[in-house]
Amino acid sequence: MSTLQDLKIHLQSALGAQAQRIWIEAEALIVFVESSGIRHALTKLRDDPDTSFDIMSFMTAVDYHPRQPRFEVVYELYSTRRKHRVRIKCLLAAPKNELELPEIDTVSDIYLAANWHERECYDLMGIHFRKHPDLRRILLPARWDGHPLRKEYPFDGKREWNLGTTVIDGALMEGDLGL
Amino acid sequence: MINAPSMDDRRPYIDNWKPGEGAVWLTKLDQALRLAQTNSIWPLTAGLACCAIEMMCTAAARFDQARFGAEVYRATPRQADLLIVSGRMSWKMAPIVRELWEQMPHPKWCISMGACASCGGVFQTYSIVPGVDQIVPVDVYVPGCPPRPEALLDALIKLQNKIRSGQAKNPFAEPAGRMDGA
Repeated sequence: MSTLQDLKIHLQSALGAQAQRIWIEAEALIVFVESSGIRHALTKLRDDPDTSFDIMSFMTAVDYHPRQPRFEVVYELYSTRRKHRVRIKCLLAAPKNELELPEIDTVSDIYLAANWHERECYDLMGIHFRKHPDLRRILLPARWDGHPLRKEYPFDGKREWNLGTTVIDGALMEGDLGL
Repeated sequence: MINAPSMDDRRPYIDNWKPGEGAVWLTKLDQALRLAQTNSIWPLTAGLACCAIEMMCTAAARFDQARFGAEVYRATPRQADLLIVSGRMSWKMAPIVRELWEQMPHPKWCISMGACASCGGVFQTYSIVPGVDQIVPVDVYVPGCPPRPEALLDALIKLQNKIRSGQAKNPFAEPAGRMDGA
């Protein structure tokens, strides 16, 4: 697979119908995958000796409000053996109920790097990763209300958080002390 | 040409003082205390962001904060008099700074150093406290991004003037915002 074009043809045959759309843009290969089949697709891309995507560079999510489906989860994979990369995207619709989070399966057991990235996605964008081993906030305090990178979140914050009275109280509430 | 000091220029209690001779000033106790507090402000070693670099520079040889008796940066809040909030403070850091402030013994003072500490600065965002006076009561605000060491020294002298004249904030003053969100 010397060129991106060859990789594209190979992925088309390897993923089959799972690849909903596949195209090359700005020297990057982009594949849209059905969100329910993300685990299957990533496992295949990792284990196939012709692709051997052994590293997840990053994963993130984008909010395209008010477009429907609203969210896009993006996985960037890299192969240290073949020196090529691919960008996998999944469309996620926002649930009708505002309090519910959009859901997708975790890939943290396929790529270990995804563990913290999924926590960050959950923290800032409010995407629930099914069967994630430890899905809690990673950057913001545990008592934070809402997911600040979403479009409906106020630009300069809500300014009404319960910060706790002392550091010990806060740590206890966040479970940082392991008590 | 500089004239030698005449007898008229002499300060009676200092220049005429001889060992063994008693010298007595009459003053009020709180004034004497304020004089001591003014000239021995011990800041807390607490840096939040890039302003802390300027704060370190202020304490170093070129600007020499020791000239004003405020060079003893204490590594524990229990020995510190002055909290210099140097840099932007995130909401996650806010309880920790408040804890440090409450661990400092009275009397204590606070300098809000830089635009970010004073009003959030360029960080008009969800994660930065828009002004540390919501967390701790502030005596002197220093503008600048970051302020020059001269500006911090100026703030220190202004604070000293406030302490000496008894105009510093009530040491038991509460910040504008409340930590429990009430």
